[in-house]
Amino acid sequence: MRTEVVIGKMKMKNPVMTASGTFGYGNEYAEFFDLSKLGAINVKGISLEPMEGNPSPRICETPCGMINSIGLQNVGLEAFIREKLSYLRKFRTNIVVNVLGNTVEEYIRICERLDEEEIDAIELNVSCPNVKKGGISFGVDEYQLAGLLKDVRRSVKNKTLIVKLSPNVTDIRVFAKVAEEEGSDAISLINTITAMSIDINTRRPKIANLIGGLSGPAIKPIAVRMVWEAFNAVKIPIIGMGGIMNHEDALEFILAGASAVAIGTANFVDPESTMKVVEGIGSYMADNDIMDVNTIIGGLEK
Amino acid sequence: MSKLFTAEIIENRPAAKDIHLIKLHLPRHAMNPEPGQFYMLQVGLHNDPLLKRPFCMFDSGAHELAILVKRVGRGTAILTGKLPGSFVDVLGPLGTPYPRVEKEPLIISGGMGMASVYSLIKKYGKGCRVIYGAGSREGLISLDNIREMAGEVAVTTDDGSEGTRGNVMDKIGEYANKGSVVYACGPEIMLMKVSRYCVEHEIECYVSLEQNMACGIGSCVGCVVKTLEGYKRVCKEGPVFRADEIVWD
Ligand SMILES: Cc1cc2nc3c(=O)[nH]c(=O)nc-3n(C[C@H](O)[C@H](O)[C@H](O)COP(=O)(O)OP(=O)(O)OC[C@H]3O[C@@H](n4cnc5c(N)ncnc54)[C@H](O)[C@@H]3O)c2cc1C
Ligand SMILES: Cc1cc2nc3c(=O)[nH]c(=O)nc-3n(C[C@H](O)[C@H](O)[C@H](O)COP(=O)(O)O)c2cc1C
Ligand code: FES
Repeated sequence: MRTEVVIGKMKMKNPVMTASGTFGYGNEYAEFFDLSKLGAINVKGISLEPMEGNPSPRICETPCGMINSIGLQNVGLEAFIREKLSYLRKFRTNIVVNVLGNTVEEYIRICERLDEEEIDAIELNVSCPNVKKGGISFGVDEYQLAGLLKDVRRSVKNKTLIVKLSPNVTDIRVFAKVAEEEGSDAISLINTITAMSIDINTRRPKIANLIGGLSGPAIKPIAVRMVWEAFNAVKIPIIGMGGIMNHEDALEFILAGASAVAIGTANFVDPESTMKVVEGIGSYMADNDIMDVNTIIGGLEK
Repeated sequence: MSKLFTAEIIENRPAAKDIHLIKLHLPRHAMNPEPGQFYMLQVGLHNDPLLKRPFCMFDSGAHELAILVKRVGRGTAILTGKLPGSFVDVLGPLGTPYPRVEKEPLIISGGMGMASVYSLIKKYGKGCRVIYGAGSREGLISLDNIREMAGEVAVTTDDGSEGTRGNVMDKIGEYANKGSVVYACGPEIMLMKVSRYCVEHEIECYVSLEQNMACGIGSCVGCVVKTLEGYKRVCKEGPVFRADEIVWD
């Protein structure tokens, strides 16, 4: 049985990875299972300088989902390389580094530095506000996204470059095509959907930042639809995510066209979720006589 | 030994208005939780409610864990309605416990704070003193046990139905001094006042804080409080913090 999938230059032993920001830097999960069982580990978004993040409350639960506004709290690029990377390298799996910047220059500096490090792929989080363009995020303006990718592509020579698409757009296909045209090796989707929740007793927003990102099972059908649309628009591989709680959910994404899947919020619900999805996909393949997982990617019957 | 397991509810009974005492049978051993630590319980089925809910270790035995649950929303309503014989997924023990300090322990509890400090009172026994505050007599959970266990107990109620009329701040001056170490849990406003008092009077003090939580193990960074050294995670560096490092808004 073959479960190996290929994303750009990155060979994954199975199609399962963690979603950025939901797996810390890996260490909190090592006590629950052997991280080498994963296809890849994607770490918390890294910025050039350390970021303090937003005030509390940062999270609240909503029906079958949660809203977060962590504010991209992270240790910063140099501390990540110095303190976190060597630990992650101990596991026999791919390391994907999710990066974020407030300007094109910041993205370039981070990517140039990471391109020389012992990692496997760089995932661009383009949902951050572009401070030079009035804070509109790169990921919701196709021209800004194209401009960013042109420059970033030149600085990522050795690693697989993944662009993580924002779902907060009218037509995801437009952005998927921009990523493909500008030389991205793969796309991942979806990031969280902007959302809001109010406590009617205090009349205050349930998270301090007012608006945050919705994740979890509530967003899964939207994510599956977007993966399907993107799959029909581009040829580069897709990493699908959004509300995957178990292997059945993961297989839905694969049938819709995802070559790999990422598990996010489920890591909070059950720290062993990713490993259970890996095992579940294996059982599904055995039960259905599927010899190679690649044969069912985009295998939706119409 | 994994911190993730399934436990059977062996007892679930009302302890006060809207508050239940729930006892769980732990499949392996109790994993020796320390006072101040907490567990995350999965109260929902099929992702609804989605996230586990945090509860303090109230008491524990060889194979047993007791928690005190106040009904405040959907998750706690489901949990307090569960019948003995049903099973829940549990993660824990989690967080950093109350540290042992070679001073005279003064334990301050307001309302549901007893869920956190009961086991600490049990641990120090006659060696500790307690200030126990609540809205009224009905809110004073396990008062008889606490009187039996602790060296000295001062009770305050807002309505004067038991002990002194007022709140724990009316007693702190009488009980706390430079030789004490104060451990406190209760409403945020009470913890803020206790902290300020102790910082001002140079009394070592630890408070147990709450925040909304998603993971309970330090990975989501959703549960932070502001400290002098930046944001810290309640589930990992806390829930017990040194009072003098918290930045109260
Ligand atoms: C470390 C820690 C230990 C805790 N120990 C106990 C305990 O021993 N016994 C106990 O009864 N409760 C405890 N709590 C609080 C308990 O976790 C919440 O009351 C519970 O999660 C609410 O779930 P719900 O679905 O019923 O409420 P929701 O429907 O989620 O919310 C209803 C109301 O409860 C408030 N709320 C939600 N989560 C929290 C929270 N984490 N802290 C405070 N208020 C909250 C909301 O703001 C809202 O007003 C603890 C919390 C933490 C962080
Ligand atoms: C608490 C939290 C933090 C996140 N942090 C990041 C991040 O730093 N960078 C990023 O690209 N996506 C981040 N995400 C988005 C997830 O990687 C993922 O795209 C999204 O949550 C949808 O998947 P899920 O429903 O499985 O969680 C975060 C999500 C959550 C819930
Ligand atoms: S609850 Fe996730 S870091 Fe504390």
